[in-house]
Amino acid sequence: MPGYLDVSLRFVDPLDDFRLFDAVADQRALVEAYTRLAPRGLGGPGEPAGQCVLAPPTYYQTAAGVEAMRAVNDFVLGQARARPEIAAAFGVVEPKYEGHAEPELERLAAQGVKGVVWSGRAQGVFVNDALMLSLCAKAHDLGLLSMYLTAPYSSNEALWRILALARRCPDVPVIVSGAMQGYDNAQHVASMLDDPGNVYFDTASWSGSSGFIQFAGRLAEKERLVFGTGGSAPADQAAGKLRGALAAAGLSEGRIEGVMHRTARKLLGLAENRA
Amino acid sequence: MSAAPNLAIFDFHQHMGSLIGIPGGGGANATVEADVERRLAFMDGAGIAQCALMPGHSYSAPRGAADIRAMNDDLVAYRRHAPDRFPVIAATVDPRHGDHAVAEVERLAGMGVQALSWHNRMQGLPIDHAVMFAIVEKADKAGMAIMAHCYANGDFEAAWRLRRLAEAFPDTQFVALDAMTSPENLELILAIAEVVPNFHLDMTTTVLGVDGVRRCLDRLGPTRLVFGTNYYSMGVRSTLPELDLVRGAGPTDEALALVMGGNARRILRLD
Repeated sequence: MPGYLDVSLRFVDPLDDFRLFDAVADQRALVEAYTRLAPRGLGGPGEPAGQCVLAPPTYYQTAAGVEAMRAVNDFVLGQARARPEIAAAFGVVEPKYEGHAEPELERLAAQGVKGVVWSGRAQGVFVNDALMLSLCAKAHDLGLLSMYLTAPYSSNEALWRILALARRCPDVPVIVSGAMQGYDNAQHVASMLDDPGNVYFDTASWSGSSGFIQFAGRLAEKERLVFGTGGSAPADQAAGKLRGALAAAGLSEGRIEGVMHRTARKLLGLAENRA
Repeated sequence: MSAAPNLAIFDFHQHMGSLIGIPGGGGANATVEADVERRLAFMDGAGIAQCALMPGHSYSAPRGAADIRAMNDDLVAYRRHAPDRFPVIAATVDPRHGDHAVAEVERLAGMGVQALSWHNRMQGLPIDHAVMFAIVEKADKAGMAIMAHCYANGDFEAAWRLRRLAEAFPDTQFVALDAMTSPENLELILAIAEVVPNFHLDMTTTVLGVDGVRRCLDRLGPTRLVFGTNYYSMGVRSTLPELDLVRGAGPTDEALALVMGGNARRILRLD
């Protein structure tokens, strides 16, 4: 079976997008949430050689401030170290924790984390604010890849804000997670396919619409499309669905492999993991 | 600025502090004494007798709940500089602090805080999150009013989310702040207010001019709209468009008195 790398698997409660996880008290629920979505095999007979990048829950309880932020990062890192199908971990840093955000980026980098996830909605900031630009640059300097969540109808993490941020740091690659979730956002992506490309898009929340497939090939040609679920579906299931759709759209096997894992591995500096 | 000292104007919408992570965000940090002096000068110049004070809702809280308690304590302490001018504190609790936020409501009630306020798109969870219901349940029991920003296209602070809370707690008074920040937003809020009697609105940051005020008075009558300025710490205002808009809408004297202060005092139980 061909391989994949889910670049944005994160802890999600399927019945509540905004569930406020407690990184200490809810560890069992977090593990259950992960298990529901996780790649099932590492390339055994008849099984996919699936791997994932594990990201923190978008919404977690912050009553303990910096300690809560560190706890959720430590939990994700612990899971990543314990499970062979997790190829890398992403962390979270609260932009508004003045004086504590950059040190946490440094701590994450020292721990071997590969990137950091930013959510304008959950973190109560506008993604194109100068504060976010400075943190994106700092993360890049530390070797951390920035992933920005986007949601339809969100002002804080509107796609245009992420693209505005990316234009201000053209040498810094960033991944946008969730841009395929809404029709308008997907059209927005389609309209800027020929823009200079430090922006990569994952496939999280792709509904299977043919409209997406029409421009997925062009994104794939530019090596700017990466497979990622955002926790919206079990990784194996989503990988099979996407691979089938890309093949049906006429993408070459090489392009499909690029989308399914190679582009992301290159971005993250990860070795191949094939059965 | 044109003053109207004879109206006993109540400004429903002032902030203490500034904003982090919001381009063009209002306010600047200063000593309390300097801020009080500047604020009172602004209020005197505009003929504003009293105001309700909220925090800036995009804050740094690296110590989590402890920082929110400190911020609320600062608000209460600020009031002591001019209690006759700052009679109402509309504190906040952070929804992402979960149960700790619920507990803070009880502490605030014990301190004489009369209202809670949010700007949910800056505070990380939707207005209608389960945590918010638990918080407002406490506020409801304490007789507090709820002041929630409903900025146009604000996602987490969409007016339909506030409606869910207002319908769940019919004895609590809710005010949708920044209601007139787009024509669509005002239409939505007017439609809600027509059927939810404890749902009110203010006119801060309006983009609709006199017509927004007129439309509101026409659809809801004079008892549901409150005057506010959205003044932040160390703000500098050379004009006060909100005042001119209300007057420009041509209300009766009775309606003018309600909008400029009577409604706020009733909602906040100051009478």
